[in-house]
Amino acid sequence: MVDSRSLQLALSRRPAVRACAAAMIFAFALAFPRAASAAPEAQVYPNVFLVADAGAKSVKVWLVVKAGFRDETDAEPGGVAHYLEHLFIVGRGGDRKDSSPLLFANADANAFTTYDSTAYWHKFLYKPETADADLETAFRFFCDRIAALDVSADEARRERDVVMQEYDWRISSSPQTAFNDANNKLLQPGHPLGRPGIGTKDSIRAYTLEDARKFHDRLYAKNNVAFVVHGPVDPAKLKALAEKYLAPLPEKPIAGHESLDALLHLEPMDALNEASDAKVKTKLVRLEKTVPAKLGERRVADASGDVATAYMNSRLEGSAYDELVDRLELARSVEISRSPIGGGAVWLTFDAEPEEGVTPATLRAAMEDYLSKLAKRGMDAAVVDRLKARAIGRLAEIADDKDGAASALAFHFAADGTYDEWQRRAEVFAEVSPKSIQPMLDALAGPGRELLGVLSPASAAN
Amino acid sequence: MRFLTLLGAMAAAIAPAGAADLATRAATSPGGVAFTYTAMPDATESAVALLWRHGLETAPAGKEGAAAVAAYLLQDGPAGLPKGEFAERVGDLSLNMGAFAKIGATVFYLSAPAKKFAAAAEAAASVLANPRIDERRVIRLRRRLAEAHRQQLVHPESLAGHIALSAMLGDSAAVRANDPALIEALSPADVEAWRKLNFSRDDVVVAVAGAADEAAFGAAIDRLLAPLGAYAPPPEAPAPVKRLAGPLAIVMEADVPQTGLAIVMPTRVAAPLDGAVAALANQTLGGGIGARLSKALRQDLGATYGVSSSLERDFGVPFPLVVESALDVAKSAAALKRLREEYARWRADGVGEDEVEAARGQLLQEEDEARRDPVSMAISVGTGIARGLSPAQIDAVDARIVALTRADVNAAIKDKFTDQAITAIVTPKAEGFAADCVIHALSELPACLAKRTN
Repeated sequence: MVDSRSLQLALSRRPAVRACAAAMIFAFALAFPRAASAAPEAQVYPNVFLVADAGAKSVKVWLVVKAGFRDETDAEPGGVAHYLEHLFIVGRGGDRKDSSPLLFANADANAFTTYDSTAYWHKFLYKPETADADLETAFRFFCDRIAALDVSADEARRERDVVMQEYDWRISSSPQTAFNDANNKLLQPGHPLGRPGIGTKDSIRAYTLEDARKFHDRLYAKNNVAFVVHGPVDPAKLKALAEKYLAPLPEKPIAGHESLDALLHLEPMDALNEASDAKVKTKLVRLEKTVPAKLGERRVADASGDVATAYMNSRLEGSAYDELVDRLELARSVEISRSPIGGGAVWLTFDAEPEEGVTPATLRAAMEDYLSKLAKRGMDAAVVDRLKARAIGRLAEIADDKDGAASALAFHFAADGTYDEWQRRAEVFAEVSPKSIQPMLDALAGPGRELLGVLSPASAAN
Repeated sequence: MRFLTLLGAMAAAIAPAGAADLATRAATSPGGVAFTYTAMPDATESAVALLWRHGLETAPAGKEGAAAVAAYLLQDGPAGLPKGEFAERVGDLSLNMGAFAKIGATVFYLSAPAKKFAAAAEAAASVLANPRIDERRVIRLRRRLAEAHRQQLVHPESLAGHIALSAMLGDSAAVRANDPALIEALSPADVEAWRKLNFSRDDVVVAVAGAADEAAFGAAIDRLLAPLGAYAPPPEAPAPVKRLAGPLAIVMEADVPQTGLAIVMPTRVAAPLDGAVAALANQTLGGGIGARLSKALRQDLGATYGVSSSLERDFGVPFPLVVESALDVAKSAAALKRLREEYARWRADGVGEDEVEAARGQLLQEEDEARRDPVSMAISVGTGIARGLSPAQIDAVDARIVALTRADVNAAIKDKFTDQAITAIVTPKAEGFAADCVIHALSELPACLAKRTN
């Protein structure tokens, strides 16, 4: 399942998992995402944060630019935010010496683009004798690239070909991704949520360096970025670098995203997307909804939604698994995700792998019945307390792990979070109650724009 | 976890650190179980790894997939506990637990935050000794596993990897373990038999790492192992497997959006003697975006999103080199030619000082990352101990990487790697690839390989 808001497109891939690999590994996943919490960070400059870690053997510098898929205009080719991510980090000028992965020969670097943001990181070995100069090199590299995109036309064309190969690797070889894209388009036509983040083959073919440069010039600015640094770094030295390289950069007027709310489609709709493909090996039934909701203060609503989703995905009595898998025996597995999508609206994705002989219509009726009954009965206070305790405990564990805390802070910024929200994460969970959750449950069970997706193996493959 | 490879690689010649410097040391539980303890006082979690010295090869031929089903079944908790209750207990305890098997090894691990460690170990022990093996759940799991394997083979790169490794490994337990048809035929009795044999109280190496003290770890180890049965080796040794060596090129014609490419080559890399230098050599070839193959295929040709090489450990043969990529169909013949040229140049001329330094830095960072994670650390240390290393040698991993010279790396490239490539290509049209045989479905592969062995 792919959450349209969290789809990440990375600069480079991890090695493919070999079909012949002998080891099968399982791990119990926590019900909650690895979310942010209060952490041992210092704010050394308004948008520069340091998680100092004297014991670390490497330094990691994150740059989060609050510009993602949603910032692309209709006039720009789809996926240009991601194309720019490639150019920003691997493109280089005529001297070919300024490439991020090659900036330090012994470094590791990568980047990803999401609906909200584009994030880059550079990690290099900590060597006391060169540590100050190395940090300066990395920090200056990012600041130089915020100031201007210096890429040759040849490099831009080459990277366009690489993005096309990434498209084929991620999208063309995956009928599941094509299914997701078709569903998104049906639910939110004309909205960035309804467009594939990587673009289409046609839009990728059309990319020009000028397209990327325009996007960069509009959105890459010191007032639209955040830095997070982890490692054995002196806060005063990092602050000096921020003042030397970041402070002189010009601010730019950055438009908010309120206008996207007007593009949201929330009027009732009941659509069907049936797809089959010989490349599909597991049948999937998906109920998707985008629904209006009156949820109150955003962060409490999000935390309440997290607890509600954790409950539905749990094995507790009354969970979706308990009802649809164990009790009714209609599905082999279920998975639910929920994302706020602006304007107070929520996107629900409810996936199930049907048991043999169970029709999509039967499964959909059971899913809707489940949501309706859950809204009627509400959540039990003891269950809410148990799930809250887990979430708060997890936040504390992340805060104790400095490397993890730095990454969590970067991801928090990449998910459009503010520093104030980051500092209040645990407090916000403490405010979650059955009462704060109820509007979310009502919204998920209520009317909205609805879609039944059915992805089946083609008969030839059966 | 590359760290596993490196620890497996440490030579007896490593200069041991002084005893006072050691973070890793031998210990014994109250119940008399020897274990290796790595103190990680700054870690947020504590981890235990049990590494049995037997794995997929102990299963009757065709039943190897039972290892994966048995591992997944641990999620359901111990017999007698209401459905779902164990999963929620796991959530409350922040318990991370898993199991996997390969040729010659079965691994179980757990980790939990320090405050919850004792309760988490208790929960893990209850399921390790007495899991619920429910027939309906086995049927579901075997179907899901089979479907997952079939789904993976949809991707041309994965399919090419499967073809190349199947050709090299022959009818081995490692290949059978992932055969969807064999997985679908598994019974609850097969799963129970595998579990009882392989999760035993003896023939096991125990390693722990994290913030917990030695006493807490000792108690957890006794709780985990005491209820398990003794290891009774199966009466029949597995039959020797016929393996192929290259050069050999197999093309599968298929309607795919990219050309899937996989090249496997045997090496003369021997663990634990050669692992570190071989890992360093491999890093210069295909270890990252700045390595030789990526520069050639991605940066110069724009022919791929990524190309990687790795030294594999899980197949019961010494460290085969595996190169994989998904290529632009129109550029794939030229890209394969370029890849072969780059590999030949790498073998003939070796690498420069700058490449060695880059690879060394990347490896040291990976080592550092692994050493900060108690689960990685425990499994890695256990692997090293199982391969005959001492705690002192294990602590000297970084020193070994730092001490390797360009001459060491180039000698390894020349002496330890080979040119016996088995190349698998999954592409719309076979023309231009000089295939030894062309197939159109996996079912045609045995006939293709039989021609080669005849």
